[in-house]
Amino acid sequence: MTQPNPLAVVNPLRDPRDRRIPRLPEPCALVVFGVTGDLARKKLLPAVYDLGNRGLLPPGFVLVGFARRDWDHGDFEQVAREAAQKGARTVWRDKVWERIADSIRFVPGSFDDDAAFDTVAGSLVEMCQKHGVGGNAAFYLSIPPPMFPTVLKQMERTGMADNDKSGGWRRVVVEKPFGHDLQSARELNALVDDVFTPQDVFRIDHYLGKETVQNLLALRFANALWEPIWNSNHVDSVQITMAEDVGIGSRAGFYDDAGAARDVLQNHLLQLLALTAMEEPFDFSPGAIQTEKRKVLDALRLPDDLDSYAVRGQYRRAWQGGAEVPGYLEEENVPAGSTTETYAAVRLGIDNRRWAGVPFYLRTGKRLPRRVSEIAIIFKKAPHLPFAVTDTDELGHNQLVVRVQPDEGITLRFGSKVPATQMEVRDVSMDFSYSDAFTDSSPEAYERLILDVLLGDSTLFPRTEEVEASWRMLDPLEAHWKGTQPELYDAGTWGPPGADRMLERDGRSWRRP
Amino acid sequence: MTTKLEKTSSNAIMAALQAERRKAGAVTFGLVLTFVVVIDPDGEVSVDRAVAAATAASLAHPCRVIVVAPHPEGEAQVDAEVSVGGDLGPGESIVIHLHGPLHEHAETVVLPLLAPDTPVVTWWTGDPAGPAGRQIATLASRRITDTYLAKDPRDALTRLAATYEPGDTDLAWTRDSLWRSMIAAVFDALPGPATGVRITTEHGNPSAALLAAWLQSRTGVSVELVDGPGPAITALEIVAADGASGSITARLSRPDGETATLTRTGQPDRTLPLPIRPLEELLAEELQRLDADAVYAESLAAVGGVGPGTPAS
Repeated sequence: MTQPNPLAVVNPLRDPRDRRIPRLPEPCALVVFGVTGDLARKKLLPAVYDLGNRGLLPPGFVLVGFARRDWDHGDFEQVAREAAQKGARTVWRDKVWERIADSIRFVPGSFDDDAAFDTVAGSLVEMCQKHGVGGNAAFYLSIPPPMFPTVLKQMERTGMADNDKSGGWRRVVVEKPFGHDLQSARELNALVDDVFTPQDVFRIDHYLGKETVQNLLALRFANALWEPIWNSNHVDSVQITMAEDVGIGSRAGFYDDAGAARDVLQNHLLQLLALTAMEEPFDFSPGAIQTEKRKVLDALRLPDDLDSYAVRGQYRRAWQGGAEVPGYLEEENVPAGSTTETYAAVRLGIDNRRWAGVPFYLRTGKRLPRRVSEIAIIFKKAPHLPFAVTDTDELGHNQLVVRVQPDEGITLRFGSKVPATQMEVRDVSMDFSYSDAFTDSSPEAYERLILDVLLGDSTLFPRTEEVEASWRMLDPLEAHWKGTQPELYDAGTWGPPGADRMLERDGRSWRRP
Repeated sequence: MTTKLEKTSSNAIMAALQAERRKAGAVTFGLVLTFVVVIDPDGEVSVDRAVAAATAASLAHPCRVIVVAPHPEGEAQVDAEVSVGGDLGPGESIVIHLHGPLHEHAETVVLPLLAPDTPVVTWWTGDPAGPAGRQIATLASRRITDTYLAKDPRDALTRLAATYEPGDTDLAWTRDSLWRSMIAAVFDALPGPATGVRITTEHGNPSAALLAAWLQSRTGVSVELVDGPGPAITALEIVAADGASGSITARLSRPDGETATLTRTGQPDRTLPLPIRPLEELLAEELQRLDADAVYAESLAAVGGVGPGTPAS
């Protein structure tokens, strides 16, 4: 913590009613390990620029970048500028960038090189002094997971992670994957928590930074309309989908070890499920929300019949959207005969009074027809219909769909009379488009999340216990799948036939997003 | 797509709007508010400028923009232009020209055109102390004025304070937001209470008066206004108590209307973006929140306690 100041007073200019003044972080440094990587260039640097442009960076701000590239500072500045300009969401202002560029330092070197790390530590201190930043710093580990131990140990050795020594807060940002099973997640958590204090660890699941996901909380808890029917009395089932139209690209090295369930289901889908199913938190503090999410994750139950209610698939060569695309096994660097799944679907139950008996169907896959993420709440049919059977032939279940991406918004599906002299009821959709009703320059997920890290607000970051609860759920599934052959599906289709059979068994069908 | 109507009525305008929307294929209705702009025929803001600024702001907050342009001469007549889609994004705009005696009854034409059950925001482009635009303002939950357009801005602020109602807001206050955000951050890091504040500004700038009133009412420290060359506010200096050295000075200076330099005793200089923002961005900020701005009300009420600008010594 900063030194206590006998004269310090409450800032008279801060007023909770004053909504025009944003909360700014204290003067601080952001240290990015792997700053020349894809994520840093596409997301982090543009997010830092956008924050600066919106006036959300503190008066004293320093960015130190570290990477294994033989670049000098000038090269890096050029690359960083191009990356920020390309990815920025807000208008480009040279002056804003010049100010940020002035406080950037690039340090080339290898992660296991003590001398290079001493240089990073030295640069951080030097830059902080030059720019009037106290001891506050956040460290962003934008590096492959196998490098974590090396980098964390180096941080421990140089004392960079020590709150007391540095005279300010020290926080660390970790990107997924958070381990590959419960055991490895525990080891990773122990390692990170050992170097940093647990409340200073921020695990980024960028889905949680998306406006629609935050809007899910507003939808549920700010309205009188939904909460009374948000339970097993009225909900028939829930489908949560995250589909990607692309293949694995150049990620074979990581992906072939992980597979769709570990890559997406364990984190994004389970977090969306937790936000959909959780009880109302008593307030919007990080602790209260995390506690409610945790309770849902702990109450998750895998089906007993995993053969019928868990499906894995792998895409094969086919035509997709007007082009012929290779199958998974033909992708670069995928080992011959790999049994890694690129599609996973599972039926989960939640053992509590609110959700008893309501199946949650989760699915994710690569090379599906379109990129879409959504949560569909499917309601029970009306208990009695006072119409002739033929009148309501085409009436389905009422649905509330939260579209997470793209085209963020909410769709409500309900029955309506078809205009004619006969009574005929058919489903219609009512759309609320988030980007239409509000700003189209809404902050990018990373922008929001970086700001939260600098402010120390952990509401949108999964806690250690949540990560471990997710793995506890997934490990038995992975064990069941071990050594099995994934079912093949044509690229450009909605997954393997087994996934359709899984819902047919329950008398349901997948929603076509 | 734009439809032009001459010698028309509210009903015909509404019908044209619905026809345009159907043609554009927009069947859903996502408007969150109605934004009514009333043009002062003798003012500095032209109809084209107002339409451009309002539609740009409406991209951030899709709304029905209604621009009312009064033309006091001639026979009573309503002409209108209705546009949907295109540059407007999801929004829609109606420009209404009111001729002759009709210009005094603008609210009767506008009332049927408001989007159903959505908040109404008005922006009057003339002297805020002027009488016009008041009838339409009674429809609104939020009323935007701009004391920069007043002949005597300080006098206009005093009048706004006397007639203040929750929902009133002024663009001179919006122009202070970036300054206030920066100053609050400077105060966060002060070692002790402020003992003196001095603002250097072009003469008679209403934003400077509001800024001074805000600081004075919150800190209890008397704020001195000093005349400077501009543009707008060019510097702000804070003296604060410091246990170790007695006092420290923090100075934000923005001579170019673009970038500020923060100079503080014992600390290196820092540069920060602090641009003079265009009208579009100011309006977009105003449309962001529709609740009453209590901090503005308190600052406006405190303007009377701020001394007039003194020439730089």
